[in-house]
Amino acid sequence: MNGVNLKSRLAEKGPIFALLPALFVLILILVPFGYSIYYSFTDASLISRNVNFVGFNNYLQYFGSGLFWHNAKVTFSYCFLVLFFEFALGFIIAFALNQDTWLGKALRPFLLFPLMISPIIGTIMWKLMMNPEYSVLNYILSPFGIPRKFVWAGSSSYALFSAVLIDVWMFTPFIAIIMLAGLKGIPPRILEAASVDGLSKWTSFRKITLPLLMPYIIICLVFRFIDSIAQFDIIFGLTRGGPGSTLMNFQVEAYTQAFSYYKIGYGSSIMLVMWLIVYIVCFWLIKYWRVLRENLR
Amino acid sequence: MNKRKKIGKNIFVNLSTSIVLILSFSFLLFPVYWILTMALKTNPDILTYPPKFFFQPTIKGFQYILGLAKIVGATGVSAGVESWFLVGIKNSIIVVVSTVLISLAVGLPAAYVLARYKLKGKEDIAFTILSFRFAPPLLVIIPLYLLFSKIGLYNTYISLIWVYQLISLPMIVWIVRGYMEEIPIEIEQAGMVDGYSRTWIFFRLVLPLAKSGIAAATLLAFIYCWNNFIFGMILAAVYVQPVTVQATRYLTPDAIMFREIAAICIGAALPLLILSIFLQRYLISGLSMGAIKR
Repeated sequence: MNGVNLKSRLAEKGPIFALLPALFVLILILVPFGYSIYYSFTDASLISRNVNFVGFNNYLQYFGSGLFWHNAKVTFSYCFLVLFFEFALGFIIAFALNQDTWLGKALRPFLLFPLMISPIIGTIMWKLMMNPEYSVLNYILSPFGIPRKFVWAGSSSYALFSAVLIDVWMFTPFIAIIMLAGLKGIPPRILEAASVDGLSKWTSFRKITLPLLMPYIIICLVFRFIDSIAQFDIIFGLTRGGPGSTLMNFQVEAYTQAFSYYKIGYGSSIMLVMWLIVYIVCFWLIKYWRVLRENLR
Repeated sequence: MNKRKKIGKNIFVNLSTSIVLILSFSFLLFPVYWILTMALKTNPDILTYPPKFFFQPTIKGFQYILGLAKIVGATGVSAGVESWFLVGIKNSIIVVVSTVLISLAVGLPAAYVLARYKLKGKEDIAFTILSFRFAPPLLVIIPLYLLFSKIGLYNTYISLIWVYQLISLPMIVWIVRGYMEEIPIEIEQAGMVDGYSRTWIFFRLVLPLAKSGIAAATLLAFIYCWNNFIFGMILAAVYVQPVTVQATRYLTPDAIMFREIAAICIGAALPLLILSIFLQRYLISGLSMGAIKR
């Protein structure tokens, strides 16, 4: 009797066994996360064996010294600029490719090139082009009044702009390709019906195309928002957060505190503050995306 | 007359479309083109202004990074007898291929369970898995660095393969799950009626039917792991670090090795560029974590 019972019970438990390996790996990732929280309340350091509990000192120091506001300003201005330009350019490219001209068809296979290149490698490539002595960028832009020895990332006034330029180059194809998929998904007969009914191009864009694109826009927003807030490779590769502290966003600041100044505890508290911000914003963005994702099916 | 007006409008639309396409694609593709030419130039051709668009190409740069010739540094001392590039490529292949294989082994059954079984808190588990796609990497790296140093895993392939699961596992679970949900359940029911086990159904019916999703997920996981920089930089040292970290090794303050850096950039990116031309339709689905299917 037990045999039959056991067999049916095993079949029931089957699915949980199948989930276990995934959970196992995830727990191995959650443990370090727990450690991060612990470290953020200590003065843990890479050069000292003593770990003392310091309460909220790291957090108080972070907010009190004004460093938080500087990091937040850099992170969010970077995020805002990047999203603005990438959406604008991505939209334009998607609409142009959607016209199905022969030129568009010929160029489309190469659309994802910048996205395929590792962010650190792409940044190095731009760095080579921005070299102040032999800059090909300054040469191309010289008709627009850029001087030959124009300094890009090395000057505090243009460092942010340089990083944004690289990010826009790298991730605009992401938005373009997703928007293009969205545009292709709109049945042509809906737009034809609208034009037969005498709707103007602008009205049918606003009333038909845009709402149908909304799930795709949200997808781009979620992915680009989170990735640009947590951007590390481009800024680190370009100037390591400099010149001075011009480009210190949350991630680069935390890295610098932890690995250049050896303050593991302090670095962890910076990361946790950033994680909290990302989590709150993403909680509702992803929730919204989930609803739209279901509707897209 | 109306017709002529329409033709005129079409020409205008076509012309403006072409201009937009040419300008935007010049911006997107010029850096790749320029770095490729830089990798094929001689140093005097690189270190000149105005920049040279026409030149005598040489493959010396690629020979250097492959360890076939010696790099002569600024001080005249030859450096780089060892090919950091090849070391990096080897490490990248070992780490990325093992990572993706483990993610597939662990993630495919999980994706199936999350797609098909009625479990309490299923959506929450699925979302926890997705949230790792969006976790700030340093948050886990700082404690892992200390932990790995303590237990002797720092600077090993195992540590990197472990951490890379953070990138590839969420992709595989999420993308494949979406595809599995779309397989008509009647197919599996028919298999059950015929007396086949769940395991048989999973391997023989579900996996083949979800193969385009698996392809999309595998491809994306491969690309994202290949392109990762921060994990290898912090959790490993020279002989274990992937090609993305090795590339920065040539960035000396005097930055005299323009050509070699350019050659490495091209060498590290080329495999993925070629992949992206042929597999674009899989990439679209993967990039949106399976939200868009083709």
